Amino acid sequence: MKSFTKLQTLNTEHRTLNIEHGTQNIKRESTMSLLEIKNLHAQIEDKEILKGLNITMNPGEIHAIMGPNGSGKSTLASVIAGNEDFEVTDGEVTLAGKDLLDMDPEERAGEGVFLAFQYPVEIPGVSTANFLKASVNSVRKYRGQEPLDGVQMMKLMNEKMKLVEMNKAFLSRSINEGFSGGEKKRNEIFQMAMLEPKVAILDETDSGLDIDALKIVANGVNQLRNEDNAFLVITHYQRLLDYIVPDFVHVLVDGKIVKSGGKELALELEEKGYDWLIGDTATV
Amino acid sequence: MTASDYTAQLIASYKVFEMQREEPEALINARQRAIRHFEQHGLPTRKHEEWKYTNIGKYLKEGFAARTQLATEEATSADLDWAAIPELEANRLVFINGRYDAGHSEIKDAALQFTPINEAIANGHPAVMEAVEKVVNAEKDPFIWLNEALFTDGTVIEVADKAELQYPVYLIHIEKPGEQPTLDCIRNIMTVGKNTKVQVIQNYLNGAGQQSNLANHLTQVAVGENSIVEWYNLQYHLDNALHLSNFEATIQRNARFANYVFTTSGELVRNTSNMKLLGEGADAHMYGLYQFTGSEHVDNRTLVDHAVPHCTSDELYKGIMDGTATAVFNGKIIVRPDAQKTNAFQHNPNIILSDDAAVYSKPQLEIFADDVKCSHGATSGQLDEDALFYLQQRGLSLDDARGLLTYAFANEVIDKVNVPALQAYLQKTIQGNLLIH
Repeated sequence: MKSFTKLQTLNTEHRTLNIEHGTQNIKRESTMSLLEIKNLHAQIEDKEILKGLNITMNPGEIHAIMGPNGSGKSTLASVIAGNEDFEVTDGEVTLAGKDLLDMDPEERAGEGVFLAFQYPVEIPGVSTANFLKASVNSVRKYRGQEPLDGVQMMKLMNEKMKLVEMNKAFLSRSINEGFSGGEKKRNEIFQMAMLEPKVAILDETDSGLDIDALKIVANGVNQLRNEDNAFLVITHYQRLLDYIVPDFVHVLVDGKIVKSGGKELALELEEKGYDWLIGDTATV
Repeated sequence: MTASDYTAQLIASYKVFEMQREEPEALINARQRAIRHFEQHGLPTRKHEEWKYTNIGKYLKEGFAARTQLATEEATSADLDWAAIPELEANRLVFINGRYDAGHSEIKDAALQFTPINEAIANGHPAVMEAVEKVVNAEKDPFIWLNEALFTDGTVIEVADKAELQYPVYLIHIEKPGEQPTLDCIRNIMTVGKNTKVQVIQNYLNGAGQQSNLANHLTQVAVGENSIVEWYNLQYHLDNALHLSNFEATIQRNARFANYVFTTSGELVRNTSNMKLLGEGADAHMYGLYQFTGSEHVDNRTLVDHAVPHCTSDELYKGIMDGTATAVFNGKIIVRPDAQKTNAFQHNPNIILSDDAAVYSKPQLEIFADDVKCSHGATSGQLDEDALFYLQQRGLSLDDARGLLTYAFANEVIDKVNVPALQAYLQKTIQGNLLIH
């Protein structure tokens, strides 16, 4: 019963916040939310990581999730994307009203979920171009679209590469093999641009980036942002949020959102750390 | 038939064979020496370290009679269709059970000198006698001795100093059983002069039909100074086949030799490659890719002998194992006391996709010099779960993701192929290519 009460409190807080959010609130009244996470519980090998998590994301919004190490940030990203290492024990995740939790990872990708990985995998032996052909046409097939031929694909790649200032040489290199940290993250954003997701999750995309690479990545995201998609930006540090400005900031501690606020909350966290909030949970 | 009965049968066949041949004395002596060695050592059993994981006795129970007469079987168009590599322009030489089939062959480069081995023997060709002398001192593999004693056919190919070949040499070896399956001992000899380059594709095929011969090939290649030789072995159509192949190369100063073996079929395939680096600056490459889905058995054995300083060798054999297939890899690098500044690398990674497939890998280094860089390693594992999830997150189905990773794994070897038509052919035949090609 105690945890139930806690949830209610948080939901109320969230709602209050939304009302304060003027213009977007009006849109909210008329549109279905894009990504809806309700009471999400997930575990790995019998260890519960997410303990009743709620987030509502509407089209056009950027949400940031911050929190100390081990709070469940990356688990949340993995669960939304469908990583089977994690078992969802309760709750629901819907994308535009469709139940994601019943879908395979590739179906979720087809529906428009994109995860920019914290540690993108290196796959020697397949060029980035060939991989993207397979990826884009798989997603197009799922969406009932005709596959792109070689010329169309190349044109699309050339266009999207510019967003993250990549050059053509990337395309013939094996996927992420020997890429620097910055190149890997730019490659993630490039793939995001190719796949045009509805909901993109950026899992600590800022880790391992110098300031130039950070700006390039953020610039790519800002250009991809539009009224129909939404971004969930998971980060440990505030600095990324100087460049990708969130509409909402949620603080994840021990598998639950313990506080939500506007972009100023990120600055407060930068200054005060997480300890005051961890204390907070204990007393709720 | 027991192994000792079979040994006796082969020795008796040799006596018949010897009576029928009219050959130079030196060759007769070499053959006699070889059969004596064979008689002394007999057929190997699993107690022999070299045959621990390849139980050869199991395959020899049928008692394949040694071929003592020249082969008369003919190639059909179906046999040749199997050997077709789209867009490959090459000097094509076709052999049926070792016998040269001029009708289906085509030599385009005038600089390529080719002689069927029996003609070469009759003419007292020096390359044959040199090759025969060399093998007597080589590895003690009973099938080498058998080949020496009993080879009925094969080839001598010569590439002169500074020769310019426009096309690769495509050797198509088709095995076709007659009324009874036979042991076919086939000898191929190639000498490459100085300052030239040649690419050879050697395709081993088993002709249509349920039965298979036991093919026992011995190929000897001598690479002259500053020359480049690439030798591609294809074993894609060896269904039901028993195929034993010994390969020996000597590599002179500043020459580069690369040997490739691609295997996707064969009831039993054993490839033994033996490279000797004899001149400073010599460079040996050995690449292998085996991919099985059934009950195939492949045994790849390589030996690189660094005899002189400043040589390099690089070896990569990769395996993709499914079904109940078995692969054996035995890679040995010897660095002799004089061979300072040697660079030698060897790696044998395997992907195992089923519970019943098995890989026995044994890398060996024997280093007698102190200023060298050598490394070796072998791994076996499943497809990377993180990579599978990554690909699924990008929209690929699990099957497609597995296919792509398999393709990627294999492609590291195929990437090293320098004949574009062959490379394209290999890529198209690897599973998981469908998304890309």
